[in-house]
Amino acid sequence: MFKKSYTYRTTLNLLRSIVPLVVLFCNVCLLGCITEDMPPNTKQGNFEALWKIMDEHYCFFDYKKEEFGIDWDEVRNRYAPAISEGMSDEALFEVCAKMIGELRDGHVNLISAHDVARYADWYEKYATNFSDSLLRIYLGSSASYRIAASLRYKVLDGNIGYIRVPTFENTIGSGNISQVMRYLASCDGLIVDVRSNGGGLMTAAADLAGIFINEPEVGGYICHKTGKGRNDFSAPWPIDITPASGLRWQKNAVILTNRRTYSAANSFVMFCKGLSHVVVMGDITGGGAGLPFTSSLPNGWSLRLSACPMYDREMRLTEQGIEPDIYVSILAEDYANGKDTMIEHAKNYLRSHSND
Amino acid sequence: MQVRLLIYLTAMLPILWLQPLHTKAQEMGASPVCYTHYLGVGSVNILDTYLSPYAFDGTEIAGSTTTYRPLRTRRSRAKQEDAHLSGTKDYSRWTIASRYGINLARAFSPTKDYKYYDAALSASASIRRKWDVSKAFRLEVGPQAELGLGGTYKSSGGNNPASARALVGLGLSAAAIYSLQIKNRPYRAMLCVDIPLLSVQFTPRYGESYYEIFELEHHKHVVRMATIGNAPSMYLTAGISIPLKSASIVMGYEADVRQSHLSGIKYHKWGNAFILGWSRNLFIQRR
Repeated sequence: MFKKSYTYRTTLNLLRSIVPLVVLFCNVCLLGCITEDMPPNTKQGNFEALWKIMDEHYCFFDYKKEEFGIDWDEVRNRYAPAISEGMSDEALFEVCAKMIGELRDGHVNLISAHDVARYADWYEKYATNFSDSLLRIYLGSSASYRIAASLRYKVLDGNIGYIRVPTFENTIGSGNISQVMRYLASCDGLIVDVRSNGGGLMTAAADLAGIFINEPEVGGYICHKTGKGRNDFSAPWPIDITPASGLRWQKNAVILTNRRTYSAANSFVMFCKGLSHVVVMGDITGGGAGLPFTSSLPNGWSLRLSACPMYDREMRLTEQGIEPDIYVSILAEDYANGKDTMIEHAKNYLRSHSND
Repeated sequence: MQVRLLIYLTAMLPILWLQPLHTKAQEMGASPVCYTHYLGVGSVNILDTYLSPYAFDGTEIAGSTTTYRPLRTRRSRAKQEDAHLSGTKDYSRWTIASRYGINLARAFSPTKDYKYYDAALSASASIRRKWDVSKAFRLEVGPQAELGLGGTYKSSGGNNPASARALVGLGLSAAAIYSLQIKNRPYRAMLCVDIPLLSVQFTPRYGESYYEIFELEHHKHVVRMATIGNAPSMYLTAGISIPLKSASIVMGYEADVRQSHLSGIKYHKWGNAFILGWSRNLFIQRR
């Protein structure tokens, strides 16, 4: 009797424990696999995948619609008939490149083994306002200027400090910034030249902007997509700029810009514009206010697209560039005489405002 | 709230692991502890829509150490003392199992143009109630706590070049063990299944960059609650141990199914591996 009862109780306890486990196990199997439905690796499939990835991740549809009247659904309908399974890869690439080109965004690229689709009107339609040959005249031979991280710097005639920042692709250490500031500390003014700087690390741009502030400041705002919907965005989050840890620039400064000041360099200008002792001089920047993400198509082509929009302190989008405080272009006669009009203008400005 | 829960659950794990040591210190007699170490090689399929909408296929190497011991309660000790046994026969109704694992994987995109490098560390501890269905067959079921860290790196760069993962969770652990004697030597077949039920996991939001999370310290929403509904996962091992002198050779199969659909990001890692290792029983004498 006891034995039977014990067996009964054991079996019951066993069932109590096993049944929920079996149900759970079945749940895992039935809830099934988490997968993503994507178009296949066909011509049509690659076209659809490109459109879908852009549709779900690109961050400027509303803005591009307002600015240029671009309707992404209409764009798809317009280009879809051009796709056929018999077309070559090059022909497919051409159609896809044209489709994404409609967005007029320098951060949108389709990268294949044979070519990179890119939008370049943002600088090709305008004067470059930058010359390597002229820069060599101002910087002199390699021995006559210093290099700290990606910064090239020297003291120009008239006791004006000059920092050339060709890229933000590498980090700029606080030690580098401190040494540069110490070297240029006795100058009457400072020129930071970010012309033709195509961007790089946001952190490098923010670190360099830290030489112009003494207290933490909000340099702008960033959002991100929270879902696949075209209007699914997070609330803006402040991009805080921290003052540089060593010496900081307290006198007047000029930031030189051109149409190829893009992406993180555009953000650097965004951080600095509006600061009391900083003047932005040159041409409107190239923009590129969307932090780019990468994805890929079924055939292996890589896709880069603007994913996180950034705004300035007044919540204005800088995707189409930032206007300078003072417009200056390189004049043909100055170029012929080996003079960079923009650097000369900046020097004159700083000299005339050295007592401000 | 979720961050607090994450801290509580993290704090629980060492308590679970320490508990068998605490029990051992109190008891008299021998306590058998089974240590198993194994390595596995197999295939893996990884999908992480934060990095790419396509699943990558590749190879995985897995390493794991498990310990398995009876939990000596006052009742089981009394029973053992009543029976005047030396301690080799196990009268406990509960067992404690813990596992530390490392998984390394390399996977390729469908067109072999890009690579994923994936690494994961995991630790889990479970307390299982056991039922001796027959002399040879035993079933065990109980709660489990788990801690996991890992990440996937994509070779194509950009502002979303990698995806990090961290989780602390609770789940269910079950085991079916069949022991038999052949020529007076103990053989054992074992099937273990771990199913996470509830966890808190780190994940970026759908289109959020790591620059925003870590540089701008925008941590809101990056810790999410996961359940069996939005993160159906399972860890399964099936193996046999073959006695060889003082130790046993263990061989079998490991299925590591990790999945989640959090913040609009879909993730799965389906790993299948053949495992080979060794197992040893130690009898720790404490007074």
